[in-house]
Amino acid sequence: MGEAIVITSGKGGVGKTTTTANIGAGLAKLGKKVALIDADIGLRNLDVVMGLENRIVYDLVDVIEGFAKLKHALIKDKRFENLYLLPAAQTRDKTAVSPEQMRELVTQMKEEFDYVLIDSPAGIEQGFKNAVAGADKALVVATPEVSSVRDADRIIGLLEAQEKHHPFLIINRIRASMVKKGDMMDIDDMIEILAIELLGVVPEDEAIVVSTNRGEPLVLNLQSRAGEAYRNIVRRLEGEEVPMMKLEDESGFLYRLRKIMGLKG
Amino acid sequence: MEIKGDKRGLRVLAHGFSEETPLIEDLRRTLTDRSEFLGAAALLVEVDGLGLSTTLFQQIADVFTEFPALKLRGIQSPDPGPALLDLDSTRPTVPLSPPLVVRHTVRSGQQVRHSGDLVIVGDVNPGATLIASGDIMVFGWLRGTVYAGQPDRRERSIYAVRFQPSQIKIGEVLALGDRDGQSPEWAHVESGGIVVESWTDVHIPDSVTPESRYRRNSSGLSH
Repeated sequence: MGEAIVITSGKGGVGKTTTTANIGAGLAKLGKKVALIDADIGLRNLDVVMGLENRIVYDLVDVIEGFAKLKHALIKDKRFENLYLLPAAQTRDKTAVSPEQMRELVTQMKEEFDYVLIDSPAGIEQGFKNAVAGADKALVVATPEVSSVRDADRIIGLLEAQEKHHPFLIINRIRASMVKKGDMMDIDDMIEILAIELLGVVPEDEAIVVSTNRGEPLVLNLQSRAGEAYRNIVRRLEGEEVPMMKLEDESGFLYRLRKIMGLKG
Repeated sequence: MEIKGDKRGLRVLAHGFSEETPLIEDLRRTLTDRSEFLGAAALLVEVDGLGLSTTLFQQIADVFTEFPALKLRGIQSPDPGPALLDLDSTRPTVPLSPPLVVRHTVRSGQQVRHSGDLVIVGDVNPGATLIASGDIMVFGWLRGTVYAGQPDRRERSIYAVRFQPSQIKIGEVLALGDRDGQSPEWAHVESGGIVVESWTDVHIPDSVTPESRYRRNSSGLSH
């Protein structure tokens, strides 16, 4: 029996889909059998980030409504034999699915996969309720902005009210140089308010934009700091004790020199 | 249920009910849904099509105790004339319920309401709301919106270990908060305004004699 993990945030644009794609690819690289579910019905993205958009035949709603079998709707990843995507429907909306139906589907998928990762839509309405319905664990993604932290706090409150998720925090897009100057919330400020366990900190990395557009998860890029952060998160999910990566000031001369020379930080 | 306002004030129209239970449930739902809009309003409940019994009076009054910010002005039938129960002239002070202790962080979007004293053991995050008819004590960071002494008890206070509310109200006196509080502080109303003071000079009641005090371990700093 596998584990179902929902990736959520409340606020849009903080990196839920990127995080889902990278953790999924990272777990698959470790040999785990992984399924990704895009629960953002009507605004599907995960297929694009994974570079699988042209292979979609059936989707989540087709499976739930019984038009397609699960094994026909699952798309196999280009790079990993053991990584699959269940895409969202693009022509429907969140009301096409109910939390009970999602719970049933996720339970069924957990029997076949080691990990079922659910990419939640932004917001706290039906789409969010669907996404968290079948999950055992929740990863809350927040960026170091007041509005993002406020929304993450709301989401954690809603998850705690259900009393079945143990939420973990992923801080995304942090910039060491701005934190150092006091222009950005630092990790301690965020944890002080949200008061949940920190699973990882992902630095801002321009390579994310490139990898998202190319449909190649950054976690596979050994040169990238963000990729390394995602690899650490994956190892922590697997129960390994990995120390938090030290944030580096990217404006520093040494950092740029090392980057030019292609060395890891 | 409809809420109507005219020269008689705000009235909740409880019309067309043939039984008491659905009326009470609908009233509770109406007040819950509209609580933000209503604020600290004083309301008349107008009952039509149902005999006004003492149990109905009691039940309506009970619903209002769940909404410490609202005031029940009276219960009446639709014909204009003397109200069947006028609480304005003889309004007894609603007895406070026992204190409510909440042992977790109150997060953004969450609201805790209590008709009595309210104690939070944990933080009150930005975007969270506390409303109580008595005092409010927060053993943690107070960063949300906090209303004590609702609807009109100005003698009540708000205490917090870290006092950084976004907005506070005591009785009907409202003030905007700031992020400056770095030590335990408490707020109370003084000559019409809200005053915040350091909360270290704790008054010990006279009934506590020196013998009955605890002993402080002086080596406590070593660990």
